[in-house]
Amino acid sequence: MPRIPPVLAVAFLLNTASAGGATIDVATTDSHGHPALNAVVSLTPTSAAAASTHLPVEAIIDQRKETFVPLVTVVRTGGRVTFTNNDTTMHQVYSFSPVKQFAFEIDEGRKSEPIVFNRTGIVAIGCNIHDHMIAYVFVTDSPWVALSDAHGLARIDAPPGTYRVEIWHPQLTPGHPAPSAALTVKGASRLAFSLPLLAPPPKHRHMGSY
Amino acid sequence: MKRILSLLLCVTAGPASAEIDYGASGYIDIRLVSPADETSWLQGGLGKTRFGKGDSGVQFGEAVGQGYVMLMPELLALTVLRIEPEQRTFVDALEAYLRYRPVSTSAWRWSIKGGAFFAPFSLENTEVGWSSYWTITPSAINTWFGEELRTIGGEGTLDWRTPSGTLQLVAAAYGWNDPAGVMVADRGWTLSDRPTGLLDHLRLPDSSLILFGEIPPGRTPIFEEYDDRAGWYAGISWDDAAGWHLELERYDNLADPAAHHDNDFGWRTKFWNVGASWKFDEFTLLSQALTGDTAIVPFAGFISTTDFDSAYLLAGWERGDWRFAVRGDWFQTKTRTTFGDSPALSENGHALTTAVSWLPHDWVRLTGELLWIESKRDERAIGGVDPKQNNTQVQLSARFYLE
Repeated sequence: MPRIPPVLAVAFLLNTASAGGATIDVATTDSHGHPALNAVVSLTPTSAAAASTHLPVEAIIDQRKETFVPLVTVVRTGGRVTFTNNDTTMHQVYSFSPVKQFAFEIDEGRKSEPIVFNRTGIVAIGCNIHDHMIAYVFVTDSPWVALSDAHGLARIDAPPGTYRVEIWHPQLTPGHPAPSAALTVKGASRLAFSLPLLAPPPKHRHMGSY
Repeated sequence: MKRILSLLLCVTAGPASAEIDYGASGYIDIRLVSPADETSWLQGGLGKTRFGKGDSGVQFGEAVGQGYVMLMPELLALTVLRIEPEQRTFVDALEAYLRYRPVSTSAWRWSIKGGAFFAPFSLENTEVGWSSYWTITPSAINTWFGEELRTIGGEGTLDWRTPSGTLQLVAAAYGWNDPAGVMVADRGWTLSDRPTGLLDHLRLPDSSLILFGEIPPGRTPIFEEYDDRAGWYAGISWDDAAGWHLELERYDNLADPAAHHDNDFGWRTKFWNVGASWKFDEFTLLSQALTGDTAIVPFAGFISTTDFDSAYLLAGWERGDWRFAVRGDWFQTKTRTTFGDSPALSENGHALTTAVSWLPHDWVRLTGELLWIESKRDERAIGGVDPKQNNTQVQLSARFYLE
């Protein structure tokens, strides 16, 4: 059973992107100025050199204490996500998102076959047994994507050019335009986004909610 | 907890039990209580709190154990058992049901449930054992739901899940709930965290029995079938992705108000319940309002109908391991009979609850709660008590979770 902390794995892979490009630091906060964890920062080139993606092909989403960990996983198109169950109960993982539909059971102490995400978009994942469990897989073609850390910071290395910077966060109101900005990269750049985040779901403290 | 269960199952059921997923959770609750001065309804009084005259000091709140077995990933068998000092049996069951919910990879999902379980009307009682997320004591409305309502039958749900939110329809048919309404009519509203066990009989107020020409003490069953007629409820809710929720339910137990077993009657109880919640930042607002009536025909040509209404608004603030809540309740009942109004069995009142919870670890929750209720019920005069009473109850609860 792999016991790799998935968050660390993703962060490491994201920060190795595009050696030699300019560094873009994006600070994300909620509307009160608190750091926004789990914001996905994407750069879409409007004029820039093509680049190959360094986003992970493989990722792991674990299940512990009736919680998916991490909440947000970023993979490239064609990326594979394996689900592990380090919980004390069975889970029935599923998605009805238009981008990817699947369902399977996973016993405690087991791992799933990899799920392949061939289309770009955001896939919400739940457990049919424990409705409060949720996770998101952000599938992208962009080579310049990063996930904000506990300090609300995301770092991307990208070649000079002009880009559209877009932010997605699971607590942004669905259906509203994503916060975005135009960015011209000539050297190291810093951007800040204040995100109108919705309240997070209640912290799940005790097992046994059905 | 699961390791202990595994050992027991290996001993009793052999290796085949490893194919089935099962588990248990629960809690033990110990209280330090400064009770209200009036005798609690649990002791035959008309006090509206769980703890009243003579209940001060350290109290055993309850021990709740929930066990589940996943017979298939879609089929859950769940039971909730409780040990509580005032119940009729040492161990009682709050719920025991089977739920079948097939996984769906479309926007639609359905489920069915059969057995004995709480009607899904409470916005407060979302925790194991019908306990409240924000306070020790739920609102008057949800106290009553836990006390007199139990679905002993079947319930179906249909969900339509969209990016903006989820629309849910729910409908149920049930029996064995014909006496529902007797407590809100004969005793009035209360605020207490003691849902009724399936085997329990609830204490009626001594003064009500005297009023009816009976000799106290007396108890009434809640979960009985007298007329072989099923009741129903149906509801609709919208759970918005932006953090707000709305729901509306209609309940009618369709009990024959003349049906009875000895002195225990069916009460025809029907009501509307509307609920709303809104979550923003670290704050939550919850509100429910209920209006309904219950009727009894104790003998031919005489009908007694009690109109009951209540509403509450709760504001909660969650910060890290702390939860703060303040809630205002309002309630009233009005009883009218064939011969006119019955002021003795009518009441009105309001309550204020403040609670602070600290959850330093997942296995413990410490809560302090102040509950103040002001109410007027003329029936109190029968026991030589001023009809207008203030009930103030302070509790410190230590709840230890077993997982």
